[in-house]
Amino acid sequence: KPIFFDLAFNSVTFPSLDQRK
Amino acid sequence: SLEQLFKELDEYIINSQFKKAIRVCNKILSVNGNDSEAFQCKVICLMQLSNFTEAIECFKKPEQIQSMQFEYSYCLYSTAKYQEALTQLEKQSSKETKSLELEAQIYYKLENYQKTISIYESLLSKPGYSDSIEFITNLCAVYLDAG
Ligand SMILES: [K+]
Repeated sequence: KPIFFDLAFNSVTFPSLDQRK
Repeated sequence: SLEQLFKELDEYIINSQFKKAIRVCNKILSVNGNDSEAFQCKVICLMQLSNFTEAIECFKKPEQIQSMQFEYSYCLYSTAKYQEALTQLEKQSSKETKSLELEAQIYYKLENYQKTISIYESLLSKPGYSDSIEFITNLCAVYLDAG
């Protein structure tokens, strides 16, 4: 089976908390 | 204070201390159950910990799913609920590229290589894809599997 990267997980990112701190 | 809790939460996230970050999210949510940033951070921490089943269980209201459709679909995909994940992605009126990437990965898991190829070929014309080694590797993989 060839290598297949989980590219979608790179787009799992935290929201900015700058307005809340 | 709430501000102090968010400072703490931000620090834990920056340092990848996701279990501690979840505890802070729970504190914030115990004061305000509708805090969207605390909710989003909790779900993403669980995803970073590969705890996708617990992440799915966080979603109790339709508006919570609405606000995190990509992440919710990713959790379904990660728990091998491929059809549910596709159905969820189809509900999106305009698809962001990250949702198209996820859809392509789901079709790859389902061994529907032609679908993956057609999505990937459409992504190829978008900025950042043709020079991504990981993307080109995946494209080669799916061409090989498609035979
Ligand atoms: K990530």
